[in-house]
Amino acid sequence: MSERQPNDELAQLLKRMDQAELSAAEKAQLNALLQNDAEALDLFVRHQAIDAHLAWRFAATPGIDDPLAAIAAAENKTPALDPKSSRASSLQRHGWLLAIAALLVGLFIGFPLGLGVQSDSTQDVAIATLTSIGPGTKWSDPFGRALKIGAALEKGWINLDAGTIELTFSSGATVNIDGPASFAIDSPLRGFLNYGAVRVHAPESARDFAVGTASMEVVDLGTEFDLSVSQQSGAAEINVVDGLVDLYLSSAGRANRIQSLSAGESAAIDSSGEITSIQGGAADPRLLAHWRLDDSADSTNVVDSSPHQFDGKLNMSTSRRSRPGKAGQALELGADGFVDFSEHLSALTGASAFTLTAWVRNADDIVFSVSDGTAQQRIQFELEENWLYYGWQQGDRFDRISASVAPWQPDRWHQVAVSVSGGSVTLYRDGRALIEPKRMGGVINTRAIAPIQLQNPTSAYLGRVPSNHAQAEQFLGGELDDVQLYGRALDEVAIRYLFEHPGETLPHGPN
Amino acid sequence: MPDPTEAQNEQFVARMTAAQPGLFAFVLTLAPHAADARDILSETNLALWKKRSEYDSTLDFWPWACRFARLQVLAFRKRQQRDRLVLTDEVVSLVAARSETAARAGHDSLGALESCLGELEESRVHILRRRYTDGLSVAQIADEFEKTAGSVADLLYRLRLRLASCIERKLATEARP
Repeated sequence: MSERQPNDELAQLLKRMDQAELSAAEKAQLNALLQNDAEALDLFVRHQAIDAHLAWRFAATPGIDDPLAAIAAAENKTPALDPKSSRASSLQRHGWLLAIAALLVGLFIGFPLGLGVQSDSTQDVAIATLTSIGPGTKWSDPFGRALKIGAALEKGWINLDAGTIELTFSSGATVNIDGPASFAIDSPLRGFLNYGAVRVHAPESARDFAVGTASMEVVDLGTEFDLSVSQQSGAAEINVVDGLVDLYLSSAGRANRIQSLSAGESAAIDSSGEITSIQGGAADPRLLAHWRLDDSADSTNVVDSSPHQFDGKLNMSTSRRSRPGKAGQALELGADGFVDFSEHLSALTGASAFTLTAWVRNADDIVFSVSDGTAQQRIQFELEENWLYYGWQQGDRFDRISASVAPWQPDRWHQVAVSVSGGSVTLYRDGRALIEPKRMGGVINTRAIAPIQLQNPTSAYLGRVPSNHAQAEQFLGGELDDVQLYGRALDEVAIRYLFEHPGETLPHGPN
Repeated sequence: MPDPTEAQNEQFVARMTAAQPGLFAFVLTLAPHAADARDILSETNLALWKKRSEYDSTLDFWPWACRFARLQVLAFRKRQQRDRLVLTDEVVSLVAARSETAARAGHDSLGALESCLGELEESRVHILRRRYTDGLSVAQIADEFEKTAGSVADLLYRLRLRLASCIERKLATEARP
């Protein structure tokens, strides 16, 4: 006989919470546990307290812990960085005090982006190197004037009255600072711009390099961007030169939001964290393809309406069968039809993380596959009665993640989606993440792979997987509508948005 | 009410400073997302500062501050879509009562944590840094260390419990006469 183990249940929920947003069912389970079990309640409080202490202890954000110094900082008398001074690190604690001091003098200086106590013993290491000092550079303090190219810099503030300097962080990121500016070196992967202008270049080694400001966190996803913050108004402007960035906006009275920007796009953000303008495209920058499947009945072309124009070819033994779909027309692929977009394979499968969403009706098998045309390398997304699967084959090994679902309703459209990132798979049906996915078959404990990890893939299909040693050629067996492919793992909020807005792509906004 | 003097302001800030780690822990139990908890703590600090003239410095600061934090948590919950909230209103009340007592030792706990971290293997501290300093997700850490996300979540959970036990042990030792 098995006894109920509340702590085990709670442990599983806490671990799950560490990895992703809890589902509605898991939240209900957590609340029931905490309400009915004093031991679970104690463990929860204990766990959250240590989580908070660790977040506090390891947080990486500049701040000031001396009230008088904080007030001085708010009046733009920020103490300068001194790599040899133990006071330099002790002054960089408790970012909230900066805000209190700012309140005193009627300024807004954002501290919600971080709070932290840093240990002197672990932080007294060089984080960046001064790699260039431009002509006409004027430092705001005597310490700066003493710096020479090659100087190793620890956590602390850089204050410039004029000119340009370049810092190279130990992560590989470079930051060019144009004076007048007040910029803090925070960690190998983070800086903080109080005011002034910076250009940031983050190579792959510094992916996720971030620059905080009073109202947002700019996270560089392997790219180059310009960021400026007005000393007077606190308003910020960002221009993405290359690649992608995510803005984590933190405005008062609103939930935090994320805004993605891609190369050529720029945005203006006011001091309260509100976006006042965006120049650039309207679609999610990581939308790789959008096959609406609304093409005319006599066409074998399957148009990709995204800017990439990755059109596919319809391959059916009979003529095209179009039906009223979930959004516009749908394609009845049946037991022999499929869409071939192998021509664009390298571009479509070049991301290390991806999400595919589609609407299906009366279907019973393969939605999407990429393979090398043999039995050795393959990924496939499929459904069966009561199941949704994502499978991957490398060599002789075939693994799959499966999630049980309620029976597929005849003649009803269902949204299905899969996202893969960092070896993890999340399956969705009708806007909800499916809980308790299980591994089935093959050799367990291999990491789920994305198409980019396949060796020499040659084919990519909607509604078909080629025959191989384990199975005969398989098809969707039903109708397909509105297929979207993204070069990143969308979260449940985004999938839900697509479920509630059939035919639309993810807006270039909070997701 | 007259404006507080500079000395009173300094004393108030000193009490706020000492309460910060505990308040953060208190808020994080009620709003179990670190980013949300940071926002709520920020709003709590501002509310405390605005109301500092109403604080009776002869009374215990902690319960007074917790009341503000609790109100800010409630305001935050009102702003959120219901389906984004993790805990129900009833459970928040239960947790708040328990957490107000448990989180009080926040400042001392941090001191003990420092000592406990010193007893931890460097590889474990490195993982904590990747999680809390660099803000990597569990999946990203798993990717970096070529582990499954589940095993990293297990490891982080075990580390937290181990550190919590260590802190409790050290605080209990310090409390002995």
